[in-house]
Amino acid sequence: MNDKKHIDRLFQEKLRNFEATPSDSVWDHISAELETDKKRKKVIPLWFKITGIAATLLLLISIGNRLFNPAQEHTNSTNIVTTPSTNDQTLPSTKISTEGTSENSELQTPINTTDSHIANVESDNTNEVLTPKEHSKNTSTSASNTIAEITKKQHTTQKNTRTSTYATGIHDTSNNDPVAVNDILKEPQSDTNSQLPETTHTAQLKTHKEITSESAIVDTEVNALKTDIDPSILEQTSDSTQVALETTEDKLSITEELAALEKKKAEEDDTTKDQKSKPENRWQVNPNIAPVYFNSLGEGSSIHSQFNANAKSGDINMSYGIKGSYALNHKLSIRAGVNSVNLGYSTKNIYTYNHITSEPTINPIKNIAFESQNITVISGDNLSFAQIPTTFSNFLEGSLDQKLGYIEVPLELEYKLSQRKIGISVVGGFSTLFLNKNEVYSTLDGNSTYLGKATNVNSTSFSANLGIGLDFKLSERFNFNLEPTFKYQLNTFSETTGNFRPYFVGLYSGLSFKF
Amino acid sequence: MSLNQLIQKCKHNDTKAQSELYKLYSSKLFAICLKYSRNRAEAEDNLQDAFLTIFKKINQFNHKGSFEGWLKRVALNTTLQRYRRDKGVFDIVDEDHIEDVTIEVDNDIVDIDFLLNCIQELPDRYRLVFNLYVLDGYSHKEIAQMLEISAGTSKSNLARARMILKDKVEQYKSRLNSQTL
Repeated sequence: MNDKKHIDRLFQEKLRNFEATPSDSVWDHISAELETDKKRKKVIPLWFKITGIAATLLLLISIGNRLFNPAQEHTNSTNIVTTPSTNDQTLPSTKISTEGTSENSELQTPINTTDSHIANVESDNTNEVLTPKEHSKNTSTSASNTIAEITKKQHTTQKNTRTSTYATGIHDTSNNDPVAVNDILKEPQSDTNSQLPETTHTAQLKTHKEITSESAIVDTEVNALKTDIDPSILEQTSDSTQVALETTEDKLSITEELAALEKKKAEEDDTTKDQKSKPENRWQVNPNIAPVYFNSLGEGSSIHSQFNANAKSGDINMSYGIKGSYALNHKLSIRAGVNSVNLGYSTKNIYTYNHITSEPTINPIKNIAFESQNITVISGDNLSFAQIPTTFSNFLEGSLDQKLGYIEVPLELEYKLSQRKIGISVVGGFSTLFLNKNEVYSTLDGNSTYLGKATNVNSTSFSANLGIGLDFKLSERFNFNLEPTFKYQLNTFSETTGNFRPYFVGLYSGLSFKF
Repeated sequence: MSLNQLIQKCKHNDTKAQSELYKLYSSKLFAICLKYSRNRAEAEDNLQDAFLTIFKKINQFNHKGSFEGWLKRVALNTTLQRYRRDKGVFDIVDEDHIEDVTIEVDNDIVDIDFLLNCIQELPDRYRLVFNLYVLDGYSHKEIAQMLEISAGTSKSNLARARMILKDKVEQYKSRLNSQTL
């Protein structure tokens, strides 16, 4: 039975309504992918939570610091001390008793009373000193604990993916399923699969095992369906009119969907490019510079208990250095570096003067190794000279400035939350700080005088670090980074008074280069 | 379970319902993928992507048209998206050049697998145009939009595809004849 027919007709008759059964591995892949999609949806909010917590913590600390240090407004109009020079032995008495309201003997008594006052305060504080210390210890350990937890979590997640790939590797070989093995082999070649991030790949494989039993059932059912359908194919009822109707109906929205799909694909291409470029360039160097602000969380003093209540203000200094990082995988990288950092703060309303007599008198500030012997440092709060002329007192403003310099060696883990044009990451870790500058100055009415070294500063100390990193992509290899980081210092001082818990905040910015 | 119930469950990411849906439609959609892909392996990849898109976008299905039609559109789009960028084929066939593309066919001899293979072996663009025009009834204008080519290109691609297919079927027939003789 030979008859001439158009080539189109031949294909139409045979191929219009045929059906075919795909291999089982297709469903395995689909269900694995669906599974990872569900997991991913759960994982992301967790990280958002953690960053949220970090952000609120930073916010609370900065607000708290403002609230609990309201002493900025302290006035020193009533408490003013004269600073008699050593040569002028007669000057004090004449100067102070100008108004004639008080007796001549007044001059000696104030010093005595303040001495006893200092003694009192000291004894009072011995009890107090213990609790704040404990407190600070607790908070510091909890801080380091959370960091440990975070790193632990990252570890375990990594481990999980690893073990899962192992498991599937074993599974695949033991299964001797040629189709499955082939599928895995061909995957890297085909476009769509290479679009999938590696992690989903491994996850896909992981679920593979779980599904085999299920897919066996699916398989038999699909086969059953197939046998049902086969005769219908052979019948070849070419109901072309119905098909035509359906297709015209379908056609309308097809162009719209195509455009949307293409957009999506372009996006996916971008993201995969980002992810793929990472493992090639695992190393990264990042010179950086940051303004750092140093302050204390609680009310207290690193110098002496009598200054606990005094207003303190942190200085803004610079930190600069270089970091190197190594990407462990797409998301996680470990990094270390060296930074030079200067910190400083000043305690307000403190007056320093030289003794009139040369005998080593009251020098209760143990925490400073003074250059000169005859110096007394005293808080303005502890002095009250009713006889001080107000005109004189208004011009005087004294403070004690402590300046510390460190070589900082940070060791941190960085976890990437987003890797689009602007990358977002969370950074946690700790720094070892090596002291290289330790100076205490007295400032009176704008003039600074070097007093000596602080004796209670540890030469090596640590800090717990938490930061949020922002990466702005400049080119394939260069990024601009911005990283606000909070560093809680752990054992900066061997002994402090009050609730002195120092920290510093830096806004690190720099250029990073991948290679 | 009615189809609507199944769709509802799929919208809520019910794993069982998703599996059920796959069982119901995979063979129909796989046929589309086979026609439009280069080979079976790529067809399976495309089928996988199509179903992932279906499960992701099933919320967008508004029950206005037929569900099967929607599924087929997604499968077609997924496959087209993959091949239409391929601009590797360039040739100019005179649009007005009309060649006899009728062929003598013994109906029983030509089997589906052979025909499918013929289509799959066509260069990407020819395959898409031939399928869209001949098997799925799109006009050249529509094809031009879908593949981002001109209607003229679509016509000449179709003409080329027909000639290639005719050659292949004829070769196949002569081979069969020589075997039987």
